[in-house]
Amino acid sequence: MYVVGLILFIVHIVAFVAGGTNSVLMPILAGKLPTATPEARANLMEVAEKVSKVGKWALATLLVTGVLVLWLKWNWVVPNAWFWVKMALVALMIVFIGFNEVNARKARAGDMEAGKRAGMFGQLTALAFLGVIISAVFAFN
Amino acid sequence: MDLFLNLLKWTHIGALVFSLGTATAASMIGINAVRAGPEGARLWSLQEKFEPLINGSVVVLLVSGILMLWLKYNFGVSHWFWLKMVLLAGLIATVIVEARATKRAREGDAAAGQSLSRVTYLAVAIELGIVLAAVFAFN
Repeated sequence: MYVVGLILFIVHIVAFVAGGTNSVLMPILAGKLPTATPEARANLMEVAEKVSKVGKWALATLLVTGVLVLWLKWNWVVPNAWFWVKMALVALMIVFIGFNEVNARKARAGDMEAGKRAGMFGQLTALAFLGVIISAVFAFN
Repeated sequence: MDLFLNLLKWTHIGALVFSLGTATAASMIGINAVRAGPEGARLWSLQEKFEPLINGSVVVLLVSGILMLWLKYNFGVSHWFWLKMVLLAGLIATVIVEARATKRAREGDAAAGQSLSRVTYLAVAIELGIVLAAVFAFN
């Protein structure tokens, strides 16, 4: 069971890196869109959509493996208060990702204001993600 | 000191994710630039803008890694750490090959452009190996 817990932990870390890549990259891509040529914009959007798909799978994997690791590796024992800070920030990330998705869909339909909001929620997601990292470091160090 | 070490770890992990993200974007744009052929000049120009971000985050990774190895682990390491270092050396070699292929692809070398995808996938596989070795070394 220890091996299963360790494997799940490794999957959790890999999903974290994949999802984190998405969180970090989206604000950078959004920042380059306003000044990009139409061709470059199309390319950036293509990169953004591919990375976004990976990000969604990564989030689902993180949530499932997170619960499983807490059960199998930590036996539901919460190490300290920083764990709950991490959970609060994960919940915040999910909310921001949701708003980002809604506004991104409107932006694709031509709503430029929604595009700016999507970018803002992308940046907030990245900030929340940085908070998740630091709270995880303090919780499980 | 504990707070500083935790912040250092946070910096190291953050730099890892940042470097992977920017390198992924640069590679994907580069591959699209190769496919665009002579019309890919603007895409190469866009790809070049990611390079300072990638280089900066790699420097942060190296500096924070060395500092943690000294201050947190007092240079006491396991064989998993050495595996991580071997993979890191492999990644550096792969990145050098990728940089040379990118330079030749920008100049119109079609064969170099074709090799970019393979080298990129190899770099990603090595990066995952580094993460795995780090989990075993510092779990």
